[in-house]
Amino acid sequence: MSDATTRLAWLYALDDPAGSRFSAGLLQQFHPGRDPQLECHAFVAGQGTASPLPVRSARLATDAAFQEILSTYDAAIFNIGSVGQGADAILQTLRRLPGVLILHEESCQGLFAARCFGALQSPAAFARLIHRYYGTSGLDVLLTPGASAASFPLLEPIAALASALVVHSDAMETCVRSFFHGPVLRLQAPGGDSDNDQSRNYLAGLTAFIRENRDLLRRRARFVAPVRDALAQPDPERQDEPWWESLLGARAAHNDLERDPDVRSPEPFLKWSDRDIAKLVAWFFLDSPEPAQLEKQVRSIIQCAADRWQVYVLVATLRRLQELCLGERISPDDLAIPAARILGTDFWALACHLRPAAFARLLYVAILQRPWEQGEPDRWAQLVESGMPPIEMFRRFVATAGEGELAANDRLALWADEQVLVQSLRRGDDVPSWQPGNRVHFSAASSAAAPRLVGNWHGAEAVGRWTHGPSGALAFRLPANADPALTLTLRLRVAGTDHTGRRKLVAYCDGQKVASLDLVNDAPCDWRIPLNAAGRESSVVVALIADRSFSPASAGVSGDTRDLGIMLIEAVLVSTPGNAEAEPPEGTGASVSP
Amino acid sequence: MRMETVLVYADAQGDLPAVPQVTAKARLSMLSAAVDACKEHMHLVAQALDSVSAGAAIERFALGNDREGANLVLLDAAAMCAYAAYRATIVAAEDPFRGAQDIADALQLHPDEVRLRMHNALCNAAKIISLGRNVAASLEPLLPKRQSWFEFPPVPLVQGIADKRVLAVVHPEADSFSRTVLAALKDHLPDWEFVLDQTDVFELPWYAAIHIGHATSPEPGSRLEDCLAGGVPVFQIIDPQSRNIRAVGTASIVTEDRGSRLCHGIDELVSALRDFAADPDAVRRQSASARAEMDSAAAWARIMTEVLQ
Repeated sequence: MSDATTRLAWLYALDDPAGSRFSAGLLQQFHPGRDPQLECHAFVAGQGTASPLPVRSARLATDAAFQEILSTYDAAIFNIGSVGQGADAILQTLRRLPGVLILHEESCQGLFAARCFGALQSPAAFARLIHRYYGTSGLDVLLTPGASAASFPLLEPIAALASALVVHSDAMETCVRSFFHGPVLRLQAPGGDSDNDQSRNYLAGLTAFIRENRDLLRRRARFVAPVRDALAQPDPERQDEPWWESLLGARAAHNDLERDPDVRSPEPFLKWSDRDIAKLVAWFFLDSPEPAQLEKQVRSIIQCAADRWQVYVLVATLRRLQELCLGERISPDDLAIPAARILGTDFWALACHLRPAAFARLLYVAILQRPWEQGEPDRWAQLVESGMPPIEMFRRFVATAGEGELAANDRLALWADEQVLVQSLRRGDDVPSWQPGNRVHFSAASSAAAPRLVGNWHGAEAVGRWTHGPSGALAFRLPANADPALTLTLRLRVAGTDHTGRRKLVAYCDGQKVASLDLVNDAPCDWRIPLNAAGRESSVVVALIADRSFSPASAGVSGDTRDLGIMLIEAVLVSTPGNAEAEPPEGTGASVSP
Repeated sequence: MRMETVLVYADAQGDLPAVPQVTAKARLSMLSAAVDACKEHMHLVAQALDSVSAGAAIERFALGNDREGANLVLLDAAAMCAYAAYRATIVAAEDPFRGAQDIADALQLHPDEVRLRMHNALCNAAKIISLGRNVAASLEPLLPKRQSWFEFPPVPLVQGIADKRVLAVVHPEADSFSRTVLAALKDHLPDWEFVLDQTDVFELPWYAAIHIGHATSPEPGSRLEDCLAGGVPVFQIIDPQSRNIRAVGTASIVTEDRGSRLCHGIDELVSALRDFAADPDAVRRQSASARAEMDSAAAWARIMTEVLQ
């Protein structure tokens, strides 16, 4: 053999009928002595019997073949096939050794879909792969029933592994040239086994292409270490830099499938848009009966979060617990790890969207800190399915866990109260608009329409109106031109502090605590509550929650058997120049903290 | 062939941020245990890393998947960043992501880049071993593979008699109760110092330690065994109103025969502390026996056996 000899390694899968037929047909043309300056050896993978070939043939050794090929041949020609063990083995070699890739198929989606939805059981992995190459539009297609995925063929993560491409149609040539940074050869595929002229022409074109690009193929073939890509020296002359970048991207995509198949990486959370993260979480990470509602909740949390890392940790934790709670039992070891109480309201705002049985199991584990007994979660799930809001189930669990046992439990209980109020509003009618500056009286004499009172309220009295129980909420819409920095000033009072001691009030706006008030007596006082309405599209809900209510009849004070929480007397909404902050209330015996 | 094991950690003298005290102590214990566990067929190298971005350390290992005869063990977050691409054994003595901001500052990188690199290290790792239930719980949801975890071996606190400086540990269930306890102690023992801040918990000597509530805190320095391992007398007070008995076990309460005292009320606690001040040696003799029971070297040896195998 002289140095002018071109040595080729031809890799193909036996278990891919079309690809196998194609390769075997071409390899029949390599008769010894026909072209002394061309040598070709076949490497076969997958189950099946290789037809007799005039060239040396060997099984593809998955682990070490690339080293042999690298040291012996000028170029490796990969005919991957579409699906099967053989295709996987050849793909593994291509991941380590860039060569000439023959793209038979117009789409590689099937290959990846089979892997993600089959062996990996991970739709999230498929979503990440689609997003890596097609971004938001790819994700949207994935989530649209019946939408055509033909424009997202996923050729990129396969083609980018190669140094050069061979295609068989104009459409494929146009497609691959749009992203591939290397030589592309368009050839007419041979029609059949016996079509020797076409086969000979095909091989002549392919051989000429390989000889023409011999230096490039040798140069690119040395990038052989996918695990250590970050450490490899890029081409010093930078002539392969765009190709190198896309090669690294493709290898990273394959590494992700292999090493992080469940998509535990924070990468989507740190790099994707809010919208796409919300879709990934709602449709692929968490199992919700209403993913569209969950998606809205996730977006809301992302927008309010201090940073994306916090959102990632939150979702990852919930996802892990969801996995534990999808089973019928939880092992003591699994219970020990997440046994720390989950205290954040954002966590529970997401968890409420899980499937009811999984949510109930999660409540046993995280709130009651014990495994569930057989049948317990199912009974709760039935209650939810018959109409109980999941937040009400959460409220009952928190109450069962022990009032006052943990300050955090109290916070969760208050939050649950507020959520129940907010959700009752969502089921109601339109919310009236409230013009800043308009003062509203809650007495019987007043007929003001705004704001609307949500929750349980007693009838109006001459002075104002009591909540029935410790909590109630105000709901209103703001005019389109309203200043986003607003202060809601409430004139209010409580009852029975002589008997019960001081009373604590907390105001929440859209799940966030915005003010608190400490009342030492029953005298009316003013409470200024800062609201930030920036970017608000829907209604504003302000929940007011006292740490207890008071029944005059129970205390023996009077015959009034009502359960009195907070009496609202008057309210006004004013624009706040600068940042909205709570101010000391007007009245007696009250202290305030924002 | 002799198996080379390389243990990599951040160098306190380099431009990397200093690791937390407990991680530094864990490192010392692990290096010591590794030397003891080293067998004839093993060659042990401890390598201090002065910069994540330094390429010299990385080039020690051959490129490719065919690295044989070498076992790389990463002992902290900086080492994870430097060797993220390698199939290493990672030992997490703390949640590595907590140190991401400091490493990012040192390297003038965005913290998210550092976090992604750390997560790559976890994905590429052959084995992940967490020390402490809290660390395991932090990492568990983020890991693509199962980790093994060990209780963090006892880290001895330092006993001191010069000042009446008392470590006060407030456990999660006793947050509100602790305010009452500490206010009463200040009233009754005005010349004693009760320290809640545990930044220097392993650096300062402690006259005694007071644990308020069931000892459920998993952090080293906040555990009963850290006091016992150092021979620091422990006084524990349980809120008589506490109803969260189900969530805690007997291990969260001291046994009185080991230089410790369990009190059920503030008066009893004050009285016990006064008795201790009157004759501290009597209590310390018992504490010394408790210290002998806390064999942290054996615990580290068990961990290193798992690390090195």
